[in-house]
Amino acid sequence: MTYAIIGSGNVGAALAGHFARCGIPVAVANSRGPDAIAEVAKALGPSVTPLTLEDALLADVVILAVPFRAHTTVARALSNWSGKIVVDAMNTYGVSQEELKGQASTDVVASAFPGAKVVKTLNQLPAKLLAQDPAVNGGRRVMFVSSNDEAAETSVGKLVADLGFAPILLGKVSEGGRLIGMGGALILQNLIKHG
Amino acid sequence: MTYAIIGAGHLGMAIAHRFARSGIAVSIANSRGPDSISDLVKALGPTVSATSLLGALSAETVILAIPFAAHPTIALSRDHWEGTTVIDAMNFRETSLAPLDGRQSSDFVARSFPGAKLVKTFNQLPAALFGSEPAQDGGRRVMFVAGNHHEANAEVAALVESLGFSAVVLGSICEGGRLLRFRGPLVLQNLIKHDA
Repeated sequence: MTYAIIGSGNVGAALAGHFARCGIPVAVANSRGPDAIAEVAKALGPSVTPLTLEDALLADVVILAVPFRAHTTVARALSNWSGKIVVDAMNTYGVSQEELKGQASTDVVASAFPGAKVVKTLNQLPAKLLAQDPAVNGGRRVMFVSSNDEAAETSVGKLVADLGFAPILLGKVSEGGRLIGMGGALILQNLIKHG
Repeated sequence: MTYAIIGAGHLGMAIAHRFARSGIAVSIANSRGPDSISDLVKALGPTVSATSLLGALSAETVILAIPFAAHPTIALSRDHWEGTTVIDAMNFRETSLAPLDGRQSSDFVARSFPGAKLVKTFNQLPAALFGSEPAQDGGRRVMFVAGNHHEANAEVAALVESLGFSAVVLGSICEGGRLLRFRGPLVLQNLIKHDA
């Protein structure tokens, strides 16, 4: 399984830090090109590789850590998303319900990436908390995961565990997924799972 | 607000223990009568009292900590449940009763208690963990709460907080509540909530 993070802002950098800490290879791309990320990537060590957007999108798992409205630009960069897992790590601050047409934001993302299996996770903590070591007091920080595709949900759940978090799989977007949407009950919860 | 726990098994006693530790008055009843639990209850101190089943069922908030199959009998002990908050702390297992036919077990319970405001909580931790101190590492153990009555959810969440837990309200039974079903993703999770 190959991984790419699209976006190198606070969330993208925090995620790249976890991949680096755990020694899992990951590509990072942003709209300004690999040179703009070179220094950050170098500081994180050899498992983080800056790439062009085009090259990064060759990964099996593409993690969207861009501002919500930028996801459509990423989506257009590839003509066919079949077989790929797209991780929606975005939140929808400042995006109105009208703009989402009343849909869950992950469903909006899914329609922009036809063929992709979309999994929502890594979206629910403030970047500063997301960046911290998830091993705390002998437990692990919880990361909720939701997808309409059970196999993709399980696969991303395993990645989340490999990154040091305690994944809790909430099932479909219309079921548990709502709770990690904007304003949901499981958003911004700093939970440490024990045992 | 008056509270009563129905059931004096492991979970019922663990709930009573948390009430006692928090100094909140509660009565507890089981099918065998108050004498059968008087020693256990005495050990919990003055805020917990053993009572008859009928006495307990007159509380404003009734906590069901009995085997799932026993709840219809309890429900029939009163003509109506208007105005009472019923906390479903039970776990449904497939062998308990007739199949749920895809319904959530709490919806099944709600139908047995017509008029009651049903809230699902206290069902999700093993009794020993439930009874243990919820304040840990500077945070508090999470107790999820779900129900179709917003006001009752808020009231029960306040009780859950008073008992020392960190309440996370998941909304209605068909939304968050299904995550608290038997073997659901938020069941048997020992989570300590810290400030974000």
